[in-house]
Amino acid sequence: MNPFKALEDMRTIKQLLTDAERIAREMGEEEPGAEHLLLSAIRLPDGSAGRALGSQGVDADGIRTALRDEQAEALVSVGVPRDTAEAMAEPAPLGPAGAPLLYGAGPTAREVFQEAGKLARSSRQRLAGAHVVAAVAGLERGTVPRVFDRLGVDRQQLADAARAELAAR
Amino acid sequence: MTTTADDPAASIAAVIGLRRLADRMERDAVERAVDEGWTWQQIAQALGVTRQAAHKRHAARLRDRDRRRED
Repeated sequence: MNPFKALEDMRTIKQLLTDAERIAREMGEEEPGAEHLLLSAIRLPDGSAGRALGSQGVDADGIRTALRDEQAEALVSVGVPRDTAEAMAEPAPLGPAGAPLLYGAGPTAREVFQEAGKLARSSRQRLAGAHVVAAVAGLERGTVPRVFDRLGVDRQQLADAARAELAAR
Repeated sequence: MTTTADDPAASIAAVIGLRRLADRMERDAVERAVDEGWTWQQIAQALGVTRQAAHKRHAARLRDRDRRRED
């Protein structure tokens, strides 16, 4: 690989993971999950993640709202009264960590991160937000696919939109 | 519980939701206990975990919090 390309990728990876951790902590989670990696990808300067999601009618605020709703519904489903559940689903920020836990991501976030890297390498592209979107769209179970269902996003169409973004690069 | 009992995806989503809530309640409760002067041994006993486990789970966060308070 071109060493300049590799350096650019390292910058992208650093921003992606650092931001994912910051976003997770703001939302009260110690370990970044796939949802935080996705929100982090939207903020990458290449803009491809936001465009792919936007083509399916979704943005970062919509994802954050759906994550809150998902948390509230989970509590309602086990008998917590709705108003209490909604209050409990409000993010409780953790505050910045003293020593950043880079690579302290949870297993699903790791899986997504590795898959995004694999997609980028196989197409000999620099890592971009849309690679993360394509990887996240491939998750079949868990919080992120449930949030996409909630938002009416078809995961196959989202993956296609991400690939279209990447093809245009 | 009838709404989630038949559907494993909904049941697991409920488990995740409860775990997030439990983690959050544990963090808040441990912070208050430390502020009231509990030892790590007492916190561990109350949580039903080893002292090392309680410390590993909470000490760094509390240090960060105290550092922010000092700033």
